[in-house]
Amino acid sequence: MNTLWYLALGLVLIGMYLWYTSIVRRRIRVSEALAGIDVQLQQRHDLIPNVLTIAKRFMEHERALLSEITELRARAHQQIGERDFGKVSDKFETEARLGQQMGRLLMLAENYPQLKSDGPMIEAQRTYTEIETNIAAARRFYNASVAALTAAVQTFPGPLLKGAAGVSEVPPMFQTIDAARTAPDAGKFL
Amino acid sequence: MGPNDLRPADNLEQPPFVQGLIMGAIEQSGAWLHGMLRAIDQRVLIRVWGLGAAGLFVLVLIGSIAQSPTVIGVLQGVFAGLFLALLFAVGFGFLLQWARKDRVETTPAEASARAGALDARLAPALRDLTALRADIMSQVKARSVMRVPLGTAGGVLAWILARQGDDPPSVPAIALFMLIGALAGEYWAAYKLARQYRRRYKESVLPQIASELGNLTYRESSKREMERLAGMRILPHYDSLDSDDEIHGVHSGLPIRIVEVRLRRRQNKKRVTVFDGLMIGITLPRSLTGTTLVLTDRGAWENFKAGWGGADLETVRLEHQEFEKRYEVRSTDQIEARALLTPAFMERFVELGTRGGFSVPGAIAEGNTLTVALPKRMGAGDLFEPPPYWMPAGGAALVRLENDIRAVLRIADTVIRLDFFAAGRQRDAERATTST
Repeated sequence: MNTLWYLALGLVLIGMYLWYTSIVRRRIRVSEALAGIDVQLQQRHDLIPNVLTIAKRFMEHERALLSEITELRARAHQQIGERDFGKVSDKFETEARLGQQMGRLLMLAENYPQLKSDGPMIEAQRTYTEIETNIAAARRFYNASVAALTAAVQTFPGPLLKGAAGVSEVPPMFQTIDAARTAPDAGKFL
Repeated sequence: MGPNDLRPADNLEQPPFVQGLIMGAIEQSGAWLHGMLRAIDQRVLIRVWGLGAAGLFVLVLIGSIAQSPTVIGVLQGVFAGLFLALLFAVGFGFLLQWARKDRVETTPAEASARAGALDARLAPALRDLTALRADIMSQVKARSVMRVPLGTAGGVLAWILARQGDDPPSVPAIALFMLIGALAGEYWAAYKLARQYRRRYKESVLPQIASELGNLTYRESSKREMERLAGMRILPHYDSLDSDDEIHGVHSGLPIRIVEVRLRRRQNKKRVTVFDGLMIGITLPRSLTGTTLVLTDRGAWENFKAGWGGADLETVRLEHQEFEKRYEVRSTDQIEARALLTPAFMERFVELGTRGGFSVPGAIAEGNTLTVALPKRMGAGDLFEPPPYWMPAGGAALVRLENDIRAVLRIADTVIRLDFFAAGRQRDAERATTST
């Protein structure tokens, strides 16, 4: 009988250990996903000054928007590498606003035929679109990783093991900002 | 020189002797049957159709009851009668459909004009091919003098040997053995030369037709490269791989490569075709560096057992439920895989499989090169096949080859539209073409 008890205890311990390693792996995966987002954001930040330099030559009337983008970029740039889950939401929000304003800038650029046909601007727009696609992909990877971690820590025996596995709080999912949830009114900008 | 000058002499448009005899006999009996069916009133034929099916059913039922006058006998008669009546109805229906069509198909004026234009453009190549055909025909004739009688004698020998066995063939069956032997002799006389002609035809005609449809050309594909891709498991399991035709160049502003591939596998002592389709590779206007595989999901155990893809490939879990259900994605880079497999890409990929009535076995992205395996539609037949050496090299054959290339380019367009950036490049290329 004792052997059976030991066997059962052994199985439980093995199960707990496997669960623990699964949480640790998923936590590491979330950090990896956050780093992946940062790599893409860094590329976006590197490109924005080039886009602004080209745009400034043609978009004299959009100074307010251009300086708003410069400020948002500077703020967002400081948040690159942020791993504190409490501050990650704020970082995501800044980046979302930056993305939104860049989208607005590119939409307004359609109003400037010279800018629209400018070779470097066309190339910059293409690169920016690809970076945005990669950022979206990195966010999807992050959200998938967070979902997997959340499932592991919220399902028994996850709540008992999450502290030992280094998960004090579940990281937030990336969510779009309220302004981005409504379709833009192109009429306002044109 | 006009296209008419390329037409070979009449004696070049005849198949080899034995094949000619068989084809002639089929042609004659087909013409007789067709003429007879056309001569009979349609209403009479339809009555024969209905009454024949009903009569067959009644006859089988009566026969079955006479043999076994029990409930089982009645049931057997009903089912067997229904089956045979249905078989008769379907067969006779096909016959009637066939009889309604004209035997001599008229070439549409547009196709005839295209054939004329292609003949004129490819005149030098066609002249060479016509000379080669004449040479091959005389060589086949010369070889047949020895090999057809040898084959026929072999057939007689086989019949004699078969007579010694447990189930000896009848005396009249000697004719069949001789015919098969003669055909084998003729095949022996012509096989190598016919293959040489096919290769030469493809090399001289297909690159020119392809170049007319864009910055494209034709070449013999690299079997090793196809085996490498098949080894990545984007294609089903196979024992033998055939791939000899490749169209490559730039299409819709993107470097492209289209290879016709056929895979076969031995199953229960039979060789079955497990994949007959195209491998379409496009270079995406992207800066991807990793490797991503999209494979038909064969279940967790099969995937684990096969251990495919290599150790550096990790499973990628995606949000699209239908896509996840059908495919297993593995990649060296989780973010790049998602950058390629955007929700729109996944939606179109699933649609590509369901719309065509087939499932797409898989795709691979290596760096910026996306290769998708697409099965051909049922009954599509072999693509880029030249006419046999006893048929004219130009005319309708050229139109058919041009149609083949156009068809594969249309399929390539659907692959291009999978990716947002490639589709953008395609739109730019179309705009540039329209403006010029």
